[in-house]
Amino acid sequence: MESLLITNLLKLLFYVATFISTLHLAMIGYHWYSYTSERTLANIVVISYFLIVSAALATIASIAFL
Amino acid sequence: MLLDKIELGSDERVVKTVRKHWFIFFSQIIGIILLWTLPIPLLALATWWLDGVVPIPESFISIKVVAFFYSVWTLIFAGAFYHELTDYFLDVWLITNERIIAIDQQGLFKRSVASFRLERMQEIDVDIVGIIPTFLDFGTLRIDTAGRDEEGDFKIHGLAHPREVKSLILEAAEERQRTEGAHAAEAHY
Repeated sequence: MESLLITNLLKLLFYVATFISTLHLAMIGYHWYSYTSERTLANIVVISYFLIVSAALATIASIAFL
Repeated sequence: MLLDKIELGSDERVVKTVRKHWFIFFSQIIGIILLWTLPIPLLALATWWLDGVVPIPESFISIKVVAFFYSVWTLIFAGAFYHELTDYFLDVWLITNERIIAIDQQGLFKRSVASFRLERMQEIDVDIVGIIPTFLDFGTLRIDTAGRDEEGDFKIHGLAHPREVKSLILEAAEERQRTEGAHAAEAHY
């Protein structure tokens, strides 16, 4: 019973983290691509953030769902 | 693109784009980086310190639990880091040969763009206060303009090389006055 509760809480945390991170990443991307003319730097920033978020979310998912 | 959104006049060209000094960004992110790495020594210390004193359940320090919470921790601090980076990089002053455009990015949902023509400039001050700003050459640049109260003055804190920027603005303003004078003389004759 307790174990199920914890698993569901971990899953919920994953969904919330995914939602907030995606929104934040989208906003960061929007600002960098809209308001800077330095496209290479914008690519580096957005892609590196995307990779960090993906890696963290993948780790969370691998523990919450397996 | 930045300049696509800000319409420049037909004869207007950007003389320089200025930002805050890198130290300002560094001082904002150093706390984020320190807090991000803090759990690693804390966990190591706690494990070493409590080892043998308090029985630690196997599950408490399993690699899965550590990876899970550190991933959440990383998400939070990565978000904060990129937030600060965006805030720093998009806070910018564009000095053109006709006006100054001050773009103030405050977080992701507040962005203000203000501009004034160089002929409206009345006074320009530079303040460099403290040891680090003196050595690294950054400070506050304030421009008083006609028709604005003190709170509405244009001000940028932590600007890199403020004296150079001040000279550049003054040069641009003088150039502007000469051009305006020439146009006025042409119109008169």
